[in-house]
Amino acid sequence: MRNVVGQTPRGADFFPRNAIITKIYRRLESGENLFMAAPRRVGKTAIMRAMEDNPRPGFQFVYVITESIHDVEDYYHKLLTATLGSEALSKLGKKKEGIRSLVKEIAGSISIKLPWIELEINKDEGKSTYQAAFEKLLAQLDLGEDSIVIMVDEFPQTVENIREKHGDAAAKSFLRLNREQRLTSNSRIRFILTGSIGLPAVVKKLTSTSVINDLNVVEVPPLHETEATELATNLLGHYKVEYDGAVIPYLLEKIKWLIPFHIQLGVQELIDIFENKGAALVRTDVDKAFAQLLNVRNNSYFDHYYTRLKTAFPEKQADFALAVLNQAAQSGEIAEETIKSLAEDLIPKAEIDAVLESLVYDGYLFSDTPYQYYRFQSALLREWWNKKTPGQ
Amino acid sequence: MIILSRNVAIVYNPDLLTKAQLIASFVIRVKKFEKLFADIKTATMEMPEQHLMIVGLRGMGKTTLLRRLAYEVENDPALHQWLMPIVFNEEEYSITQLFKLWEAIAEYVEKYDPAFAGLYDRMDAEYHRSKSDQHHYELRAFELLVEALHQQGKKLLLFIDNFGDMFKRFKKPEKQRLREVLMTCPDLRIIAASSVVIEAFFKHDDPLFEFFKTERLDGLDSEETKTLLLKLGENLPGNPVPAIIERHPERIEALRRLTGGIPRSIVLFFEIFVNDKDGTAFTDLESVLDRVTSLYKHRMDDLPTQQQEIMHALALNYDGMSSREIAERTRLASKLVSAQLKQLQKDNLIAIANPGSKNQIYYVYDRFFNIWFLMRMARKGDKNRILWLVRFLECWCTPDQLSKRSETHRKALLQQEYDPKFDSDYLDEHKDDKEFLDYFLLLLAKSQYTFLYDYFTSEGGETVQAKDRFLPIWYALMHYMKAAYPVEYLRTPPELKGTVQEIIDKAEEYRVAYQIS
Repeated sequence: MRNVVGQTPRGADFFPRNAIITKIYRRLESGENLFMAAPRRVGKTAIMRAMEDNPRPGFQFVYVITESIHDVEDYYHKLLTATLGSEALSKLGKKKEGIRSLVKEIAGSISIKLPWIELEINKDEGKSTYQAAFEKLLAQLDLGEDSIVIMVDEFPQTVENIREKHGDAAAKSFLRLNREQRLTSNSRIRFILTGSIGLPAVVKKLTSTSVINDLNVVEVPPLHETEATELATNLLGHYKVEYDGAVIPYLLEKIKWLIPFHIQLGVQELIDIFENKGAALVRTDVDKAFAQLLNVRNNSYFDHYYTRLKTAFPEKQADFALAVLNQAAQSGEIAEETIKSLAEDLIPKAEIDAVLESLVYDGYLFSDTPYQYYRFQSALLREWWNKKTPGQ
Repeated sequence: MIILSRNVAIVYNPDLLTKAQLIASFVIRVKKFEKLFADIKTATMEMPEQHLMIVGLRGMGKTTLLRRLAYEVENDPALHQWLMPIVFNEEEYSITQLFKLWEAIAEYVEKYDPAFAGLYDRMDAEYHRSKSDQHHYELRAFELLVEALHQQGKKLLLFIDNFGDMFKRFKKPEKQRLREVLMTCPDLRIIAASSVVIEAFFKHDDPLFEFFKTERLDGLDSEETKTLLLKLGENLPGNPVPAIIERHPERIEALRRLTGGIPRSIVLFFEIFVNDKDGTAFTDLESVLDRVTSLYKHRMDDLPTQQQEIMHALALNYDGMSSREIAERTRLASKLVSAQLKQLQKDNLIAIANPGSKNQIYYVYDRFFNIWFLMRMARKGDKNRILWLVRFLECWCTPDQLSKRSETHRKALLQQEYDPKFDSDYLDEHKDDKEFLDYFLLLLAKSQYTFLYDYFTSEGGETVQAKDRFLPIWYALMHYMKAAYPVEYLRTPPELKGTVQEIIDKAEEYRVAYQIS
């Protein structure tokens, strides 16, 4: 298992996350459309790609990323070509003839190129739309006993793109259209939506969240300690790194929030240290790895958490969020009472919950509900934050 | 001399080397090369691969490393069958939009492998068909590229130098699209290089900002510097380099530290070393600075007046400065200074020691430029600061420097006798005295920070410019006095950080050795 940092780990580089995958299948089996919720870098895309690469019997998956899409027609063009051109559809052996004639019918009115059925027909301009073609596919595709799951990555970003380019009304209508399609599509077709920005926050800016209330929310948790140990062991083993027994437990103890990405970052530094040192790693090397990890060279992994506050929130809310995070970083936790007092000069009480909700969704803080405290989700991020904002 | 100059010029510019010459002269960065090549060799690219970004200052050897990797892929029969290494020019001014990147790749692959002939023309025909719809043309151009790769059973390894310069020309939708391509396409992999840290050209909301795995090229260490000099010396009759290394290791080490171990600067020094075998680090420095004068003078001349004033103030100060201090020194309005600092940072001329904090400390990014400025553009007295610094480093880097010191000061210190004639006469008489340096170390070990601070800032200390003469000691002291002076240690010039850390380590070593509590 190679240490893939940044790119989506696939195949042998993907650390199996069976518990969450089983949970997703369970929800899909009961006919739900899903929204996969998790902060950045928790592994959403890797999970989707793993499901696509190794589908369980009766399921086929189509992965589409729509981050660069700014127009509704481009969105449906991408979904349509990805679905029709996918291996998933070509694998549905028994139903292939029926699919072929449906595709020919759809493709007869638009421009589409599908290598698996050797079909290329030019668009009859103006007479049809990709949206209409996609809707026809959703309604008429006969998959027999199989289900096909269309996974749309960076969907919230697409909504934002459409809003920026065409205005709020267009984005609202796009959201409503998506809801209608999900609710009226063939029962063998399911959707999983996800993205690195929170869909509820994007929707709230535009309209009521009722346009997404048909989506079943699946949260992607961090790894359990045993899983995290296995991941770190596999990664260090791949690079033939020697280490004593204290190294991995101490690494995980320091990381605390055991998301694969942070473990991979820690391991990356340990590999570098091992290569320079040429001797087995010991506990103090983990401290060294952490110091390196929080060094300027790795700013790009954390700096966005700080700088994005200014764009994610209006000015006063950003100041409030920063004050809360600074306090939580320095003290290790922040009580709700303190949060309220920090808000006093900055924002009305009514806005506090929305800001906190966003900080929790985006992976900064978690709420320790019984004690009414908020703490940094990631120990690494907390240390980085303290370094970035000393004494503020 | 002609042969020598040609060799030096060639090493300065890897574009002038043939494949065989570059491979033969590649003696530094070997570990990094082996690591990266092992990564390339084991990647099957059946799935989209991890893209890499090599980050290092100008002159650190990024271009050479990219080329070396590309040649190794060509030389590996198994890889060469399916993987095409494409090395972009160092500057690609014409790639201003994403579709132009695909077009440039088409031109490169056509040149690399005749089987791809006609690819660019097919794109060109598609462009005319698309009736100026650049968005859809970009999608189509990329499709054509991928189709051609599939037809030939090939994949691409793209070596792109100065990636940030190219990337920042793309509009946001193009950046989003590029991320989609890199995330989902297993047919190409980028090994990029950049002379600036990633966040300087990726904004936090740029889709690619955390997508690359970074590999950093730091300055050469002492051993690598010797290896490089020895390799360069092989081209000379009766290779004089081993003798220089043997006789004056401190001369090489002082200059290595002052230049931050940048290979390109070390190559410049090489010629000086062999021409003046008995020179000192300072005379070496003088000679090299003459050679870079026209380059650096242009850099200053090309700046707008206010930016020149700011650069002047910062370079003259040598240590980092806050925005307020720069405003006071230049007599410019604070707002104006802040705006110009932002621009200078964007243009990579200055950097911030503590980004994000309230009291940011700025310094000149290219440290050798700062040294040149002090030596060539400053008033006479300021030149001494570099002279002292070079002497300090020579002194610090002389082998066995500390073991030869007398026990006198140590004993005096342990007996709480703190007065070793701390006055200007003493400093004048002992300006190169290693014992003096040793004594400062012992004071640090003994935690006599206030005593030392009082001396540096006393009238006597200031008269003899003690701080400038022992600048690394001053910054080691500031490290220990962080609580009282939280900003001072941040002003440490980056090229001195290693030496400052060594001083701290040595003080801690003394603390243990002499059981000082």
